[in-house]
Amino acid sequence: MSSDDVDDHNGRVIKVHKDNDIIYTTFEFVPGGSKSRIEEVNNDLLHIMKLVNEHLSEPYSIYVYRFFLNNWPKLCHIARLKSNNEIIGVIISKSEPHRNTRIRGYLGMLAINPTYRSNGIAKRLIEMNINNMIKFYKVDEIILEAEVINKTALSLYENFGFIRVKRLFRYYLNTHDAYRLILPITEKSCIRSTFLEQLDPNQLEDYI
Amino acid sequence: MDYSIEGIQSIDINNDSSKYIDITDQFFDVTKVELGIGFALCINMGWADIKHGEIVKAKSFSLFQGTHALEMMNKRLDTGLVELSKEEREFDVTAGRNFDEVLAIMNDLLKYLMSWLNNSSLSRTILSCRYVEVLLVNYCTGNKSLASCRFGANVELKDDDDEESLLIHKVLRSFILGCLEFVKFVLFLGQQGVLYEEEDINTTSMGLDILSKISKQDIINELEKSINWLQKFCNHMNKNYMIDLLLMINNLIKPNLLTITITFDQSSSPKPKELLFLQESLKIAKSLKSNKEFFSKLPQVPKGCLSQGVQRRLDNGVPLTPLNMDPFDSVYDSFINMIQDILVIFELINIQNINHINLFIMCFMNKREDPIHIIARAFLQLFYIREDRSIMGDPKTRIDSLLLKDLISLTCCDSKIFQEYENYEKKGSKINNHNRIEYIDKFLELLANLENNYYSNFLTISQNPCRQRQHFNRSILTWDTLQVQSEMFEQELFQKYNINDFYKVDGNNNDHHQEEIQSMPISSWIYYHKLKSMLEVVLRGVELEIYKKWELYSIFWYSSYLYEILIEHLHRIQHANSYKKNLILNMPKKIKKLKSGEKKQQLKEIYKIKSKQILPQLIEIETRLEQDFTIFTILKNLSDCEKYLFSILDDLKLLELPKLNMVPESLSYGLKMKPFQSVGVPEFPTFTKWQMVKKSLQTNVDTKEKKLHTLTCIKKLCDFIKTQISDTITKLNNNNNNNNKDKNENGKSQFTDFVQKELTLWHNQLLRSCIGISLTCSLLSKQLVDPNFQDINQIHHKYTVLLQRDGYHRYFPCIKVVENPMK
Repeated sequence: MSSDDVDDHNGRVIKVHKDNDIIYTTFEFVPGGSKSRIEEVNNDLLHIMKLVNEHLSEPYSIYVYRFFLNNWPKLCHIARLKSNNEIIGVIISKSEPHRNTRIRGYLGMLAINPTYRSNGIAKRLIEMNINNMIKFYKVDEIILEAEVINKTALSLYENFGFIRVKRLFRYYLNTHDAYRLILPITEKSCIRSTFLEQLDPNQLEDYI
Repeated sequence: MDYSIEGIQSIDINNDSSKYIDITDQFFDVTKVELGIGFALCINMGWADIKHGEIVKAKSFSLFQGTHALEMMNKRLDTGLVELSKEEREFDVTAGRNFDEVLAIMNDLLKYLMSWLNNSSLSRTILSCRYVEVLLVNYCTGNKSLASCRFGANVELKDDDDEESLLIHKVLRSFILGCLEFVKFVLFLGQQGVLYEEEDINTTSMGLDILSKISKQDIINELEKSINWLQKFCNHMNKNYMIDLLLMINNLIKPNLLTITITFDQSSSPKPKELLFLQESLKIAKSLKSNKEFFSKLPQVPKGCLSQGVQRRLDNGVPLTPLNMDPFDSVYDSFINMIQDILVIFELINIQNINHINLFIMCFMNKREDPIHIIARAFLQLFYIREDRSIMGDPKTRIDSLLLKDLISLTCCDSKIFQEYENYEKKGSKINNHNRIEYIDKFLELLANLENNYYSNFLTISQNPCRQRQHFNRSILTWDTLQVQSEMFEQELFQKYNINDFYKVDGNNNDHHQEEIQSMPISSWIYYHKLKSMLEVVLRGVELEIYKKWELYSIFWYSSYLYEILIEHLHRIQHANSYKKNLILNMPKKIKKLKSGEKKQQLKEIYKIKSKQILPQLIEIETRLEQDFTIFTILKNLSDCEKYLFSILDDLKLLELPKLNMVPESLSYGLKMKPFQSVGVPEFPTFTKWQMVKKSLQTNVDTKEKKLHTLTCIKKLCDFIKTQISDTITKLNNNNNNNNKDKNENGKSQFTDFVQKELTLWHNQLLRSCIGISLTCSLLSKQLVDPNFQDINQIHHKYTVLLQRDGYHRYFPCIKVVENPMK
């Protein structure tokens, strides 16, 4: 297995053996469970929130996490170190009908602990997340927003085939512009919603 | 669901807080067994076994609503957690302050005012001043009179009272009132829906009423009282700085700009007196800016005066944010720009022609270097189109009549459809009475639909560049729908009543037969605007860096394709216009041939009217079309240069899609071209069509020799474009030099100074792009014969494409092939 040398920003270098040392899983927030399981989930959730809070510019309340995790439990993926179970990466998404004509996945948050960046963790999480959106929610497209100045993030998503469709003026609280990017999954993504048929109301529950 | 908790019914929020019941312990008692992290949104005390992770909520409550909540105890969201220093907590707004301290506060308030307009919020700027907060809270909780705008107990002030006290309670108070009057004006602009909240401006005022019940005149009086007092009673050596700050704000708020009226189609009006106030304010601002050193030596404002405390104390729906004060130079530059930009708007007084007004507005909304100040942007829109849809307050010119002028100024001049409309009550119409009503109804319906779209175009004046592109994107759909409606209407008129505008061109055979072509003036006007909107979406996409380099190839091909169609369309309009012009010019011959009589007399009358009224309009359209031809040809040629350059880069495999791409190229192309996918005319280029085009372009560059030849051709094309642009710039400069000569009989000129400057800048930037492309071709020609480039199939391993935008026209970045530092 290959390994990368990672600077942990304190002058130390962390060696991560990509496939052996990191576990990638869905973080399904299922109510209930044993006391130890509850403690474990609580602990994980706190770590996820900490990770996002520290590395994304926008502040999110607990309600934002609950909105995503409770409604779309299959669309939260985490990467954790096998050695100590530490969560070092997380991706949180949702899927909803857009203008009642197509199903749109939305990639809400992606945060990787800087110490472990450049190990392909983000790529792996995005891939798993996209696959679940397609498999479980039959999305026609996946969208996200990224800061115009965040070249690393833009390059990461664009490598997957996300296309910039819109620039959003002063989108973030820090006043930076953002790009809206879309990954087209089906032909529906390429047609204006005005010209698409309305979704079957009986099937809507399958999507959300 | 019944929510009940013992004692909770007795809570009365209007009562003293000592009567409130603290239910925190009970809440955690109920939830402690299972609820790990407090998520319960509504608690039913009957449930002792809420499962971990379970959300208890009313059905009507969506979790999405919850995402807007500000979470308590979260340091990034709960502003109640902000820790205030002793000075902040105990700051005394009633105490007198010395001159320098008060001047420093006033200086900072001005900085805050302008920082707010530079994409900040009131809570981070002007409201964070303790004096402003207290004054507004007292106003809101008092009787909302001028007397309630105070810092403490209402004290009757006398001119010979303690100076330090007067500096606070008289001078600083009036300065704050003046600043707040301006805030009120800005909030009014914000509330008119011409600006986007949080993008262009943040109007959240923390639940405070910004002096809505206080008249502007009352505030001006307070400011003038302070100025008089300083002049007569204050002996401080630097009092003039303080007076200047007061005067600057006073002159800023004085004019009632939105009541100024400019009459359309009338002789040049004198500059409104109201503008003198702005000019005075501008003069003072420039003078104060030149005294930066003096202001930099002022003491810091008293500790605790500026504080985040307001975010904790008042209604606050956003997370805790740091205070935001721009530096001195930037603040004064911003103030000066704001006034200068507003003054520029009044150059409209000197414009008469609808095309020149449109040009002025286009230049205004497209100014990118030193962008137009947000207040001026909002102001122009509200000034230009008033609440009653009149134009610049002229009761005779409303949006509907402006639309008619616009139609006539391009394709509908002397058109039979319009003549029929104008004469519909006259005898001799080709339409019988019953059908005439149907015709009028349909015509008015079409005009009403056109008017809506036309009006919404003007709403882009105040929008930011991102929103403008979104508008053009949406407008493609509406123009397309209108074109279909209009074509049906014009066809019906032709088929049913033989009402038809047409022009004649020479037929294909050499039999002197002339072919009659329907000009469809209204549809033609719509098509012109639709094509322009499509091009706006494409080229503004380049400006906003929407397209990556591998997308730009097809994008420049598409812009070239659209320009070609637009130029073809202009030719049709030109033919129709020339035909109408020649008909008038040939009338004397016809009249001469006729025998004397009623018919001859009638024709003479018609000729008299047409040569006086219609002919000048047709000649003006001719001039406009020539200008359009020039600029569209330049833009098409530049698109071609980029397209051919990209075809070489593509063949060198320098535009390959990213490696991890999960999407077929056809879908990427489809998504990128989505704005145009529904357009019927011009035909949408499918992915297959694009592949064919690409293949045919590739055959011109698939060998080194062909590439070198193509590069030589691009350079030649660049030389041609440079000549075109230079000629245009020369014409513009001549126009500037002969500005007085060019003024028409009403004293109104074609281009204002602002338009002249912006057009010259626009063309100079195009020239720079052209030179940049030409240089890139020279460099690439050299690189192609360089030994490092010998193995053409390996070039993409060693080199990469770089897009340079700075210094070039925003639609045509410069492409460079450079060594890839990553490889």
